[in-house]
Amino acid sequence: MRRARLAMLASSVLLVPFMQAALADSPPPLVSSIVYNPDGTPAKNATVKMLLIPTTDSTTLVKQTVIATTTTDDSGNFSFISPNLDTTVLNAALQNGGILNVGLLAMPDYEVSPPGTGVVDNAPDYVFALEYTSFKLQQTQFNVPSEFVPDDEADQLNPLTMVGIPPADPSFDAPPLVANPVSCDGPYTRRVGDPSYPQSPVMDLHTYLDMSAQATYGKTADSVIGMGWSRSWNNGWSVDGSAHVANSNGSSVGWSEPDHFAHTLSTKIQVNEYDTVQYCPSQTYHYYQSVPQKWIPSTYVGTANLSGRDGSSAFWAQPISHQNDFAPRSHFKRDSTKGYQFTAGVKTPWNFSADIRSGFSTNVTIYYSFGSANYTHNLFGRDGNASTATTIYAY
Amino acid sequence: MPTRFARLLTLLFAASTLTLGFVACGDSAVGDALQPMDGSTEVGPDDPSHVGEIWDIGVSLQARVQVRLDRVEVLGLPKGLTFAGAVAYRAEDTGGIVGLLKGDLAAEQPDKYGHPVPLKQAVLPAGSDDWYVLIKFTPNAPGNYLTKGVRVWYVVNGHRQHQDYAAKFSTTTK
Repeated sequence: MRRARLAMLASSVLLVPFMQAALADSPPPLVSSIVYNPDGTPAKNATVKMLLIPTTDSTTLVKQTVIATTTTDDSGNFSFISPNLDTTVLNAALQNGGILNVGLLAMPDYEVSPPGTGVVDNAPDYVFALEYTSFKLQQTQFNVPSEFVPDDEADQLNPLTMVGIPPADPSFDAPPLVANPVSCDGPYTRRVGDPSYPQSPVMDLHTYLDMSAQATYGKTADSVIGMGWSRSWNNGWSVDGSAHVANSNGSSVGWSEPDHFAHTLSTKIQVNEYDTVQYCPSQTYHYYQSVPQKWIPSTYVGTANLSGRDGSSAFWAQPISHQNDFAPRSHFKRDSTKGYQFTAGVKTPWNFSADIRSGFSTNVTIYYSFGSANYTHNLFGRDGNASTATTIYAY
Repeated sequence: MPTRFARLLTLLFAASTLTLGFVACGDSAVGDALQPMDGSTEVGPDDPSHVGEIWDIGVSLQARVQVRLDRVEVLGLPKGLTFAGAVAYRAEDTGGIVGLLKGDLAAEQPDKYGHPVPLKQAVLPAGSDDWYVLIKFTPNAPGNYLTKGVRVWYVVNGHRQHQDYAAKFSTTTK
């Protein structure tokens, strides 16, 4: 009997709260999901690999690190308790501020490609599910082995729902092959093209009459960036999850701006594109990944003038509780935490569009100096006052 | 006839039921009645202040359930800086929240700040986000000063609890 062409659809990924550990006899899974065939039936005996996301600069193929492997049960369920806590995994996390970025690659237990056609690129039968997420390394006690817990910050940007891409050509009806992809060699990956450096917005900074402002970003500041994969190097990108880039290189950058300033402040993130290959019994499969790499300490000021809301009594007057009054020749400083996340869209030269979110750090600061003019200087926000607003405006 | 063991079991069951019922229906304090503040803030005059001056900072409060304010404590109050008292205001009555202002506001600007609410009389309704406490500092000796924050004590469901805010005041005094 011909088996259904497989476009793996995995959904209902559950990041099980770690709190359940205390209630269960065995450790709860770090991540779990269900993999479906395109006809809605559970994909049993599918292989699921947990991979370190590629970070190599090599332009020749190097093997991507598989840190855990499992198979789905008869109902399509799979779960990972934890990746192996070996040196490679721990170093990958420690070099990224304790955050481990992973990919979850699901493959069927058979191939559907017509044999003998060689390398398959953008082929209609090229099907599996690939999703990205991240985990936090947690040191439970001194001298007690570390453990990984779900990284809620990353999954808030793009919730982990593992929706696979169906075959590009719905009419394709190739006979399935009996070949277990567990025997596939790979994946191997290589960087293609030049890295991209999309601007990562940090905040909108506003000043008005008789005041100046400074902003800093860095040290432990983090960014969460959408991850994607595609069958083609420059289109058809699927945004599936995210990576969490921790700025742990000890640097910080700053802006110092005069009065009547209203622009977006940005820094840069390096994003690489990778060509990834799996050598399976009958075919060689390709797919491409857009992978955030690291923060590039840098400062940019957006060209758009955002001053429309500054100095506008009509704008700040309601609600009045969102306004703060400051005496002449005084200052106000705010250290931010995740309450002030800033999200915007980015696009790479390979046409991958995703959200990027910055601002998990206590080192994202805003500092206002108010001048000597003999009147009260005002700051205000739309979703809170100067202490809590996502963006501070000035009057 | 129930055996002695069965009667004991019955008594134990009744006692446990009573206990559970008491726990379920008992007076429950709300531990997070006031919204905590993410991060920290610091305000202060840029020029040196003078001994005896009054400086006022405002700390906005967001109540999740109805609370009555009780008192305010300054955390990390350095020697040489006096905590000169705290009152409550509604932002609506003062045209906004004080970030940092100078002077005895109620006396010097009675039109705007003339009617503060004593802390123990300030009842913040659930969902309120326009109340704030105004905290007064007075340097009483030359020096560099930086406080660590503010602890707001409040009463909810008859229980006295507190919420800390990393709202700092800094000044150099001649």
